[in-house]
Amino acid sequence: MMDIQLSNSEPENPDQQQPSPVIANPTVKQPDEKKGLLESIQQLGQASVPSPAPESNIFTLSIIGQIEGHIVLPPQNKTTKYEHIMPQLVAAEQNPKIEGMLIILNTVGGDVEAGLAIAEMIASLSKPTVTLVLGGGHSIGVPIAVASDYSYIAETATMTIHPIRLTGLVIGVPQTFEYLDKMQDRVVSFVTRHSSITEKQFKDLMFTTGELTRDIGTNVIGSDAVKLGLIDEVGGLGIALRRLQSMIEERRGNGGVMQ
Amino acid sequence: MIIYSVVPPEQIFDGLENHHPQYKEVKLSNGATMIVEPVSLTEGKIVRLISPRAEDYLNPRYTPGNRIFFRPDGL
Repeated sequence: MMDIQLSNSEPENPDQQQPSPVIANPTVKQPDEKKGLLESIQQLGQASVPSPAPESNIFTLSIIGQIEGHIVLPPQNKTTKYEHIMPQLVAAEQNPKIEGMLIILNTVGGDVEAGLAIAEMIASLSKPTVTLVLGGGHSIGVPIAVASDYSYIAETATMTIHPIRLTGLVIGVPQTFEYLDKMQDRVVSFVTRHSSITEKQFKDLMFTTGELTRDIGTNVIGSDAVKLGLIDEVGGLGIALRRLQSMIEERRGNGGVMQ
Repeated sequence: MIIYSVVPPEQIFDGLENHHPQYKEVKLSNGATMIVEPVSLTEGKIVRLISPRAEDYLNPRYTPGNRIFFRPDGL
């Protein structure tokens, strides 16, 4: 304590408070001040705090496990809850520090409403968005994967395209089939609007038999998804981030407007 | 609600009848509300944040899954 008081009292000494040396050679005084500050910190025993990492201008969102909608799923499910994702996307869209968004997917599907809501949300963002499918982007993960401005799929990642199944929660009447068909059309129309796959191609994949063991549908792997026009390119994290950065720079050049 | 997933529904919904998490609503002094799952008398796990301010959702302290500590008002 004594040392600190001494060093603090020094500048208050009227003899040393002459302005001329400070103005004439301001760099001389700075190291002294810094030294005094350092000493006082050491005296007080305060630990040095590492400077925080520079803030990223990219908002990263990972969509994993089941996409959880209106029902809280039992704990054996790893879930991504849509009520967590939506306000985060709102915050990222309106935060001026965030310039682009990277969406990483490894999902087995989930609630149709929640999945489509997330997909619509991503598609309507004004900032550049890039999606990367790692592992899997199945069922309702497909519309989310194609919702971005540019999509990537890892070489080994798969996407399962299959019809929406009847569950025990639905009654078995002809109207139910019509209802399910309508729900399916929502998914099909979103995917065909946001990727270059045609409705016929997508529906063909959906109703293929003999591909999956216990279901009808198709398992599309890495480069096949690109060939079909579902995903833009095969790639990983590095290439996805580079793409996003270049999209951000392009947007900056256009005065903040995406082309 | 329709589930569109590669996981069979019987596996997804297994144990749904016995899954009754107890949630509590906590009002924060800044106007936001939190849905919290109490872990002990003084501690809870954040389940959901309800706030009119978008930036709250990017606050790491309010992230679901984080622990919060209950404290009596006026102390």
